[in-house]
Amino acid sequence: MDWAGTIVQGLLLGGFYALYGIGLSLIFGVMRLVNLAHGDLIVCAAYLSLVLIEVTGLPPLLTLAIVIPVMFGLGVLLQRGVLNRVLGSGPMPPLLITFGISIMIQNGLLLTFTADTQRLPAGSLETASVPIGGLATVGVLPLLNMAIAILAIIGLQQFMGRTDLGRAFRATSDDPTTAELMGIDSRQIYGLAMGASLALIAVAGILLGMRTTFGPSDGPARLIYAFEAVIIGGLGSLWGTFAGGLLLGVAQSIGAAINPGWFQLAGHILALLVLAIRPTGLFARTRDL
Amino acid sequence: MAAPLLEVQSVSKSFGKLQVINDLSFQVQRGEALGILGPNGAGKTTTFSLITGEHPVSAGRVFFQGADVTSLRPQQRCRLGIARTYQIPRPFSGMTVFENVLVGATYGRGQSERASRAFCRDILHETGLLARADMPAGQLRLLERKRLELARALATNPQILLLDETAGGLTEHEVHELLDVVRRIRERGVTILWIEHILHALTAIVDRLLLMDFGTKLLEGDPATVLASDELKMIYLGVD
Repeated sequence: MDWAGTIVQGLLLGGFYALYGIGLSLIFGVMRLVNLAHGDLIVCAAYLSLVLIEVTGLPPLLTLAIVIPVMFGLGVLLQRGVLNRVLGSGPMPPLLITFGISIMIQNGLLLTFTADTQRLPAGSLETASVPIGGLATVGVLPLLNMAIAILAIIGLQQFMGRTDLGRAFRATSDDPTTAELMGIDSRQIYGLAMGASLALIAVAGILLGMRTTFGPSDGPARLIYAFEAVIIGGLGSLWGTFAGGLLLGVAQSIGAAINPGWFQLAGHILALLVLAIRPTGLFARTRDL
Repeated sequence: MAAPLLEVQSVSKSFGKLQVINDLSFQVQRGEALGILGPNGAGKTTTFSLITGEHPVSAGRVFFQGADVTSLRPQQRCRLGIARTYQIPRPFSGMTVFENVLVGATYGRGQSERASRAFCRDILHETGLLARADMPAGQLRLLERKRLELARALATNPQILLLDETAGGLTEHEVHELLDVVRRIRERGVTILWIEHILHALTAIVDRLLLMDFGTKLLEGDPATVLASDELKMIYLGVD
């Protein structure tokens, strides 16, 4: 087995999971909300891109320029129109609502696009690759995704640490009641957080859609990968989630190399092992939630 | 006489079947300092939460600067000039002391970060926290946390400041330091509404006292009258 190649492919696959996980952990961090429709929204972004490609003939990468703002707006609407109404009434109502949204998205996609798997036609980019240090040849798309994930984390950290709005995010995350007494509109912050989360996963959804096929029922698996990235890395740390995503990708990749059926299994086993041995995650910052 | 800065008008508040505030009315004039006294469970802190908008009233109205603010959300009331501190300080513990104050200044006062920096340093200086500016707020000692509560509330540039047992849990010496800070705040023209059990601290500052029990007003008047009243003796000493 080509170990180096397997690990490199795993890392690159993990870059997608990292981006899923960052989106999930961003909204959990800001408003303690678990979005069960997270995976389906990732798939939704890919379908949105598919429609745009068919209608306008744009290349997939350029559809990002439309899909990202649309997903951002959808996130703001979803949060302000629906989820904000049930925040503060315990963890159950948001879970039920996002679970319901998840079912609606899956069935809506099935109805509109049938159960056929789709792929975003990326032309030569689909298979474009660059050799890295003689070890392995890696695809341009996953490299691009990895770069975006890293930029997203650096960007988020700068935003949280250095801007007024970022401080308002942190204050709201820390204590929403007190944040409101300081003049911060927590509902607006929550809306922006959900928008940012969906914008991030739109990127991952589209880039992955150019690389592998996707179907209406792929959402829950992606939700689980996002959860696993967060569990392995630890809550409250963006770089931890990033590392968690990469480790998950490597585990899946090694599992698949041993036996193609062990692709998902190896990832789940890693996540379960981390939960059993170090429930706070490998890179968690101690932080009261 | 000009309209009062704050008017609480026949306000009631129930949590389920438990009535916490029952037809409470009082006024605070601009520039005044009003102290609120009452036993635990009298509804003092709940009254604050109704004024700031953290809890909606069950009945009655709250007026601020003559305008009805009853249906406004806390962040809107904050921007109008209502600020409070908590009995148990609630700093944003993951942020530095300076950032805590900066949040109040940028959102509550509505100034850009650039325009707020000097203002925030002034407030930290005034509240004796300047040396702690870059420390994570979660690491502060109790007195410093209480000062931060004050500093953060001041950063929102309030017209009225609601103080909730700010002197509680402090040593005698610390209480005196705190009183100096509160006096300076008054000198800036900030109106004060203060819940406090430490009477000598309260009477050193306030112009009037309001005595509450069972969610309603028992007595209101100048400190000497209220402190000598039978109602107060009844509540605190249990004598008729």
